[in-house]
Amino acid sequence: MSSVLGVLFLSLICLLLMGAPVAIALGLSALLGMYFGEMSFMLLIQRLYNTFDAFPLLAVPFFVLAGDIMQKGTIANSLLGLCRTLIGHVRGGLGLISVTTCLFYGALSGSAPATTAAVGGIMIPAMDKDGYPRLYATALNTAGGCLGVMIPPSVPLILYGSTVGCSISDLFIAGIVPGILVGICFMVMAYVSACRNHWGTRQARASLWQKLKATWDARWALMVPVIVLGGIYGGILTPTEAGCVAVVYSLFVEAFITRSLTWKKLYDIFFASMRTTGAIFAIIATANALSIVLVYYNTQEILYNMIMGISSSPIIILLVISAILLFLGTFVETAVIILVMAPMLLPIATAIDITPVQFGIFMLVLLATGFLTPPVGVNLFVGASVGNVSFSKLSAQCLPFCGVMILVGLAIGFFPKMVTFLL
Amino acid sequence: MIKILNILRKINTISALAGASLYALMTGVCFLQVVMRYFFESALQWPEECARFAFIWLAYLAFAISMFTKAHLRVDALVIRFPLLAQRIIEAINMLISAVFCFYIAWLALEMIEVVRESEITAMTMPIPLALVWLSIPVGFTLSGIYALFYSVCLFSGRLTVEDKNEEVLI
Repeated sequence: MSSVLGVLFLSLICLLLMGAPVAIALGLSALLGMYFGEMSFMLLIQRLYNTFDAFPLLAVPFFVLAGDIMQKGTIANSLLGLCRTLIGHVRGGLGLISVTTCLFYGALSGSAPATTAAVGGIMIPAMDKDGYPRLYATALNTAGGCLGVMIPPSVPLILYGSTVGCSISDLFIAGIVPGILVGICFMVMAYVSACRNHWGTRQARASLWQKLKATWDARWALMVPVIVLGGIYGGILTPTEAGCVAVVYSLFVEAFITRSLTWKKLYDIFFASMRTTGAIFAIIATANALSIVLVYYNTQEILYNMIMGISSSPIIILLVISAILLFLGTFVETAVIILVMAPMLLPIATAIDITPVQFGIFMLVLLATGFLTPPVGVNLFVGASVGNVSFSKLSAQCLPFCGVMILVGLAIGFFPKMVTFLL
Repeated sequence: MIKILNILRKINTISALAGASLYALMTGVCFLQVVMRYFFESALQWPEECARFAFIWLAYLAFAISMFTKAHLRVDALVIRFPLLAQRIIEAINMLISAVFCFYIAWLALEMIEVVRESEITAMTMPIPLALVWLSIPVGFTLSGIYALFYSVCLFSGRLTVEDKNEEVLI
């Protein structure tokens, strides 16, 4: 049994290291596992179908499309102006503006690299011009992008909810506080660095009139979290419906109010969304297929006994789980870890009195560090290309931000009230 | 090769248009359901099922589109350290493995569809045979297989470099 598991993981790692598409590597390993276990290959085909025959998962394409419409249209850009008038006068203002804009962007988009590309593309050149070291500016925006997955809507949370069967609405609400907390920590770091190194110039304080005008200009963007979170929190909309309403809303605003959409642009947006979702879907389907093979080989129980055998102390067990997640996060895609590991780790978490919602947020915050750690940190790739800096130097510069995220993640594990008090 | 590429581009454009229509359909029926439930207080039966079916087709068409535009996620941290020739050969092998996998899955799915078709099951709320929805899997995987095979041949014959990650440029 364990030798089959060994072969399965070895083939998976070899294929991944060869640079094969992750989805294909997962699918092939699943086939291999089924072959050795004399399972019917039809189980895999059934899994490929059943994975998408699920209404909650529809939220993923909806939120991806809504995010793309708002980023390529005019809705998202208005946020920058608002953040500039609100905090531009503080020392280190541009750094703070970057983080705040990432926070707001997170409420429009559910993806971390998209947030880095969108906010970094504007803020890195601006910070560079204002006297910040380019490497630091890039690192701040690269790390800020992680807020995109923490602030709801969040694609990883939808995947977690639909995999372990826990309420996506609850996960969205619970994700707000840790997201804002990480954002505040990043802002404090940006402020301290700017003060200590005398980076950047201070801008004149915006008048009340200017602030009101910027808020009015950003009204269409500010309405999005009101509709999405308000709809979900008020029990009016399910997360899938909220995603759909966000698409219709953003299409309506871009087409009829700001009039920024053309047919060509609309096609490009749909095409970009399909490319993104195609890559996510492929991984979801094959990771799901692999997880039934792992269940067949009783991997869940083996892992349970192994981790519970280390210690009886919940603190140690939580630290062990954190170490596993952080390690996997450095080279495996977040979606894969959630789909494959969440069902296996959740029984262990439940055994040490961690609720599924709390564990989901805990996993998300720790796995978000994976966006910033080499060799496979998606945000690092995006950041290095947007900021035009060296990948390895950027990785080193992002370490303190990872540290903060790990601390917040652990705090969520130890203090459940942090995420559950809004529910 | 250029001729084949042009044909594949056309197929990709057609599947992208079909995918975009499905995206629009999904949005439309879901929104209709929201409107009917909250403004007319009479939820319809079929929109949820319709949206799910559109979603399954969209997922597998998008799978093929991602293969053609090389949007699939991969771990290339180790491979990029190799010399260019080695990179090209490894990538060609990757694409060949992907093609074989995709064709095999498409074949298995066709066998599955035969079973579904013989059982004559239709959707619960709409007069659509379920086999039609299942068809998305072989279509998506066959298209992906063709794209992967094409890239593999181009890479083996040196008509494609590994540096053009997002563009399907032929030399």
